[in-house]
Amino acid sequence: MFGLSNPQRFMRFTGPLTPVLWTAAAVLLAVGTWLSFTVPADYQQGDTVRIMFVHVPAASLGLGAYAALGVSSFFALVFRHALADAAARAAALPGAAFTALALFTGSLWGQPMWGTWWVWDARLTSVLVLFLFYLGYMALRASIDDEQKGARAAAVLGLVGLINLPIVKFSVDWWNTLHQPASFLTPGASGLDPVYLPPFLTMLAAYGVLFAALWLTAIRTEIRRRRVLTLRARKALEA
Amino acid sequence: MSRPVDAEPRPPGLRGATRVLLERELDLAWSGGGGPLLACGFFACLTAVLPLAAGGDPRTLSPVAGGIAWLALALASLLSLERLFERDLEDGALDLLAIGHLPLESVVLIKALAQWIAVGLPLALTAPVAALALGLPVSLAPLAALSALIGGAGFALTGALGAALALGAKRGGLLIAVVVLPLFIPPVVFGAGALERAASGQSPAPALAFLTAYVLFAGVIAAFAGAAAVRNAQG
Amino acid sequence: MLDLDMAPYAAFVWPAWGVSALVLAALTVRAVIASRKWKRELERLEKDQSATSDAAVSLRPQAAQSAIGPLK
Repeated sequence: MFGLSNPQRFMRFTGPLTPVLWTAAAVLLAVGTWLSFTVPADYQQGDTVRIMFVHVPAASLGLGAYAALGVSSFFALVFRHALADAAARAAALPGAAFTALALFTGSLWGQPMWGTWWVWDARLTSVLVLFLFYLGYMALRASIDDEQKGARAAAVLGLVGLINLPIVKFSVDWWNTLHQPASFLTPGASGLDPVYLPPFLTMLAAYGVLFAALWLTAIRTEIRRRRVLTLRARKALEA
Repeated sequence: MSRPVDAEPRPPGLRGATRVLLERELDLAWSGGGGPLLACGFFACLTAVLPLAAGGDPRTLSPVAGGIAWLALALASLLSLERLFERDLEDGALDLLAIGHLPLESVVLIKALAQWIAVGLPLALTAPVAALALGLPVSLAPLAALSALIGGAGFALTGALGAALALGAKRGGLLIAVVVLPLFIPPVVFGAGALERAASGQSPAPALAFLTAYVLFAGVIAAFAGAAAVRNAQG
Repeated sequence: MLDLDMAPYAAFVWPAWGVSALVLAALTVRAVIASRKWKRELERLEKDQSATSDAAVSLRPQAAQSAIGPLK
């Protein structure tokens, strides 16, 4: 992994890789969508079970992107690595989008299933906080004019957020044992019929590969952008 | 006039330096247009407006009195955070602090401490009054004060971290709020939870314990991350 | 096997899938457009750079080439 830390080697390595990822994502999405709509409706949940196939992958990748952001921020801060910083920045928007999708589709799943658009249990609240964190991260980067300073400050925030999220989850969980929320809120993963595994796993893989494609493409774009800015600066000096 | 070069005054030492900085911070906090009064005033306004938004019925308000009071406490704690480091950055005092006797981590902690004393303490005294106004049972007032006191330390520390991160950014006040509010959630939950538990007859001790743990945790993180953020902002 | 009648849940299933598709498509389009834009700009600048430095080199052989070569 550290061999890739040289921007040039990274570009050479990911050059042929990215189109493969995009193609794989497209195929997986197509297959997954087909499977999701041809699988029979659930005995209890009816057709709403199909929402699970876009909801859970979105939530998983929202969290995964966050982990990518946090780990990249760590490397950016400790090793002062430009590539790590680019990776952190590149993960933010896709991560926020996936998290927002998780919240939105979750609401749509929750209403017909459990009769409520929203509930303040540990899981939902911490996903909402995750979304707010993404917003704060992007706001912080955007608000500081000096790019390097903004990047470093954002890296610190990325790390702090990584620690805070388990604390939020724990504290709201603790809070909820006070209020004893209904136990029906564990979406039927425990009792899931195996006939739903193929569409679920395919969509999960599709989302994962799509995120990888989005992330790598964004990192490559960021590397090029920085190179352009450097060249422009040099040109301005030489002019 | 000649003087031997080594007849300089003795450097103050860490304890002295701490005291000096703390006094300076408290001075600044209290002098600029009544800092604590402003925070308490804001708290009072929130306390007045929130019930109006919720319909004013004591039956709906009373169960959430503790929670609303804690929300108002969190928001009022956000006040004056923006200026915590910015003033010193602007007039160069921050650079002096950075190269001074005290490590930057201590500087961050001392500023947070001053924030707690100047803003958190008055709020902790106002919090029970506000909660009572919202319908909290009178017997819980001391608990409200105690939890607000501890929670206020958490808000001051996390707020200082947010202020350090947002140094030099545009629209600093709003940015600090956006960055810091997700971090405020655990103390709000624990603090309001303590009041809830006590209201239903259980012991608030676990909640207060978690709240204290959060404060200690926040202290460590704010010191190191805040110092890193300040160094970053200085360039 | 493919039964597109989601009643009575149509109002939930279709928006969920529809918005997901829209958002993912928007993310993809944005990523690809940005990537091409900066790639073009970089290639343009590097062509410029090598053009001027070729001219410079022919006049002053000791003029330094850029330390990092062109990025593909």
